[in-house]
Amino acid sequence: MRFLTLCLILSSFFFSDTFATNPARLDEKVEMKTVLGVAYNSMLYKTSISFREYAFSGLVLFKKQEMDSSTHIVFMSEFGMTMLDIKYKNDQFEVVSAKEFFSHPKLLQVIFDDFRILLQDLNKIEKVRFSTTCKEKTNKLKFRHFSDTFIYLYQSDFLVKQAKWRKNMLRVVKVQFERNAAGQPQTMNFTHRGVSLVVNMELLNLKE
Amino acid sequence: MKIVFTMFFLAFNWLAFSQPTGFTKVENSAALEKEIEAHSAKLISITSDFIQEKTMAYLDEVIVSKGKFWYKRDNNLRWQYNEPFEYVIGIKNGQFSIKDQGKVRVFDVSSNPAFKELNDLILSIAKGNLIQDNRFAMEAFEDKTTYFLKLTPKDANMKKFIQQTDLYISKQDGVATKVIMRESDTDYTIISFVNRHLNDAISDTVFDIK
Repeated sequence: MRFLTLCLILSSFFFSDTFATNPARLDEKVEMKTVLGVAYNSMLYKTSISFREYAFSGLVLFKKQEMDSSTHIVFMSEFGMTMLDIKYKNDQFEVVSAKEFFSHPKLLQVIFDDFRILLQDLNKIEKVRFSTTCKEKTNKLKFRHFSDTFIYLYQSDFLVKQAKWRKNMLRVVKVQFERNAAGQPQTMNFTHRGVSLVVNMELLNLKE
Repeated sequence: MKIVFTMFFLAFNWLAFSQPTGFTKVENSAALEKEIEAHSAKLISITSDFIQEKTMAYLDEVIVSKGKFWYKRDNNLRWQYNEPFEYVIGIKNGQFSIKDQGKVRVFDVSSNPAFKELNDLILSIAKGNLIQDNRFAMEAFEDKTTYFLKLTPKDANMKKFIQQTDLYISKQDGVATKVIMRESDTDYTIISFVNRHLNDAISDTVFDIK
């Protein structure tokens, strides 16, 4: 048992060369930053969702509302029909409107969990851990929030390239980011452990 | 005073909503139906560009998409978005095809009631003959150049998606110039048809989605 503990401690040193639990470092390292990494008024994504043999496509709009400091996420069809409008405000999600298919509580929870990875207000997080891996000098931000674990990998200036959300061993979501020359998230691809649910998003338009 | 003002405001809104500015009510809707039917009988094909503006007034956001569509009698249609994304819907020989990000998916219209409904709706909008569709309650208005049809779904399920469809039809050729699909007072989509060409020759291969 002692040998196992020692191995775990040593391996953690091997994989990380810095380590901190000081909340002040969050301000210092990711000051005024969000996971999406850019300032925007709205961002429009072409989105495709595949679940088992089913395939869906449409548009997703991220829209900031200065009035109440909220961010709306609107799912719509290519024809313009609004399917779902949810709002992230005060670290909570709420449904603004949902067409029948999208009003299923389990589906909504999956959507809330997925979009929390992108929109999580970092100022609401009390304890964070930073580390830097030797490999490719990747920085890691890790914290727990609402009993879930969030991990963000980034190289510089908090431009996240990979994110991971974990509720438990079975419920894990990974997001891969590809950024364009302006640092905007050009593509965001979600995969869900144990579920053949894949969500791919491609940036169409960003308004500042 | 406040009550009087509120009543006046509501009455004005009701009037504005019930009868669009500059349009008068068409009293003889049977004659209008016949007129549109007569235009429809002469219609062989349509080629047109379209501009789609999705307006979410409550979010102060308008999303503009542009594309082109082709229709050929009886039931061939290609509806193609070019900006800001590429997406094609094709209807040919009872098949409904969608091309998205280079991949083509084909659905048999007859075996899928949802696609049959969508198929019929798209074709009716393109041809401007939603007036004959008894799934909608219709009110007709006109000005000098245009018929304006206010279509309200009768079916409760359909109402959950669309509160009202406004269809603007050219009096000259009987074909739609603009469609407004209203999901609510603050959430609606306007599709305007521009550069319309009627009865030009269109090759059948246009409707093959590859």
